[in-house]
Amino acid sequence: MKLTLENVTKTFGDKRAVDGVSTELTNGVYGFLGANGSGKTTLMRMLATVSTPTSGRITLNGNDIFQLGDSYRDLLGYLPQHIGYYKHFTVEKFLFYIASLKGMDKHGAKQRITELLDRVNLTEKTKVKIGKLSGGMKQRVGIAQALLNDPKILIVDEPTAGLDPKERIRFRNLLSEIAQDRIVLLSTHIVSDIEYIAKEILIMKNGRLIEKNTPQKLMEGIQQQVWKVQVNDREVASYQSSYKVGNMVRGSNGVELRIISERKPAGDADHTPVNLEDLYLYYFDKEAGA
Amino acid sequence: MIRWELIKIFKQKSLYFAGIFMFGWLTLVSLTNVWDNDVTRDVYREWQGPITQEKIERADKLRAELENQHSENGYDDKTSALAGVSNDITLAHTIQLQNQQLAADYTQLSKQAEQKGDQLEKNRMDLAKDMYSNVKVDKISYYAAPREAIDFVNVFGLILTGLFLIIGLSGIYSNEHATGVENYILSTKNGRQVTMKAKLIASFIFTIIVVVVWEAYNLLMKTALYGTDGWDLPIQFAYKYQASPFSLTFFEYHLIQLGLHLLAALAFAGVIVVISTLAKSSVLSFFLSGLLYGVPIVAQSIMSVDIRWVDRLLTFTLTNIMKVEALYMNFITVNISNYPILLPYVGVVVCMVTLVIAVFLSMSLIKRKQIA
Repeated sequence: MKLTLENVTKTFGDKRAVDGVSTELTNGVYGFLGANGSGKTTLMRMLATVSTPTSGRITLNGNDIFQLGDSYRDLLGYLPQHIGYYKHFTVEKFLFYIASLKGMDKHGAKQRITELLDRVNLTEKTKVKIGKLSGGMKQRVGIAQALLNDPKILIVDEPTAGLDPKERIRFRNLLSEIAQDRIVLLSTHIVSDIEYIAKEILIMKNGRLIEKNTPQKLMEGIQQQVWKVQVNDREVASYQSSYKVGNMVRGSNGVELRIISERKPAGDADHTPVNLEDLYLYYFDKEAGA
Repeated sequence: MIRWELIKIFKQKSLYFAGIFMFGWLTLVSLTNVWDNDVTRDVYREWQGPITQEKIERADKLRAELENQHSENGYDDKTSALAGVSNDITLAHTIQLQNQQLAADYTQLSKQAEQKGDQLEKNRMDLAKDMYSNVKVDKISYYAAPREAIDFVNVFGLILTGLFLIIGLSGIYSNEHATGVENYILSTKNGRQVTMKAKLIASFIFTIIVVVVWEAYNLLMKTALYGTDGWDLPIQFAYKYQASPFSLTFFEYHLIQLGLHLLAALAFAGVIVVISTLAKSSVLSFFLSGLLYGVPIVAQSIMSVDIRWVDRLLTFTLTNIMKVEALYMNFITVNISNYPILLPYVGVVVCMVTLVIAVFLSMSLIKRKQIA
């Protein structure tokens, strides 16, 4: 199975939300990394067919997904950025409704709902009205609905927003398990969501796809630009104004700063192994500092 | 999917609040405005049957006597009933004579039109002559139940259908947008065409339920208050239909009235679905649908628009067709080539065309629908 994006562009008035994105996606997890407004959500929406490109083409195995229409949507599971629900529906009733939208029969839906509610740890909330659930629980209902039809293409937009750390780990594990024989597209600005499960990371900035590679290759690309420097408290502000500063760890000898810089920031600065947070900082310094 | 759409419609609490308020108010109005009593019914029963020459003469005599007996304190129940029945008999006789005269006039006009070579006018006059010749206002009985029942459709039926359709259906799609469920709907296999079909069918089922519910209330209430007499009388006994060329009993007319009302209501339900699909919020959809429904009523009843073409245009709005009465009160035709078409037929065509366009638009909109 191959999803191909050919020069996909989406404009809203003068604004180019997605600008000429071309890429190919095959089975595995793809992490879309980008700051707010980078075009991730718009791109996800087009892949989920809830929005159409202004120009360009998206194909599945060579066929335009908008021409495929319902047969493409039959393969799809989509968790939008802002999950929707009917507050008066119980969790189970809502999932049955989504199952109907996905064309599932009642018996199959019943089994699948029971299984998924167990997997997202909501079995006890089956008969509770969605309006009464916490934000994290609603998000888990959203995850369950996306997986109902065992989709071959799973599109999840900011899926871990609102989840506590334990649930985020549970979700990551769930994605890892199911990603073997399907395309999973996951957009996030939380790098730990994709650090260990993404086959490739696609970095989006200002509507453009600026990088697409394995996490390892992307991190290798900035290996010479990540430094560790030991400074005292008074120097921290000065470094922050001159460099992209990531993690700061306070110790007995002062503060250890992670700095992203093409040149050595201090005489005693040393290279340090790169992680995805450094990568995020490298591409989205302004947002990280905000 | 239809079941789900019906669940969503009937989950709206505002429907039940409106229902309790409206039917409570109607019951109060009905019980405090009972026109007649058992005495009236008994008097009419003494006179019921064919209107013979003997009854006409008795009625004239009785009316003359009652006029002489005029009392400052008004009449008692029996005298009022006698005045009513004698007036009705005289009125029926007058209408019968007028219609005979009209038929003769139209025959004459038809001949004149033929001489002028005006085929359309000839066809119109022939049609009018045939229709008025067929109207027979030649029997009498107590008829308060059918009179009140058909009036209910014109006034309260119109309000109830409009109100419940607007409350029940305004959010049928716009709520999906407001709740964010639209994302799932548009990205799933059955989310577009199948869901829209389900929404349309559910809207139509809801419309039928609304009409059936208030009609059941209407018939029960009128039967309880006025009995079952009079359904076989011609509609010309009702004041608004005295000049009507249609030869229909109250029963026949009420069935047609309900059928036309329902057809127009179904078309209006389709229009609300289209508005709801286009509108970003249920409030906007509610107001737009309300405006569309209310403008003809306001223009005709309150502002009394007296511009011929505007008035004619308003006749063919769904609201007016739902009201039905304007289509049956007079001899009016819409002329296509040489053929005069009676207003009720035009009403049916307007409803059907609107319904087809609404269904087509809804399906077309959902096919192209996207989230901005």
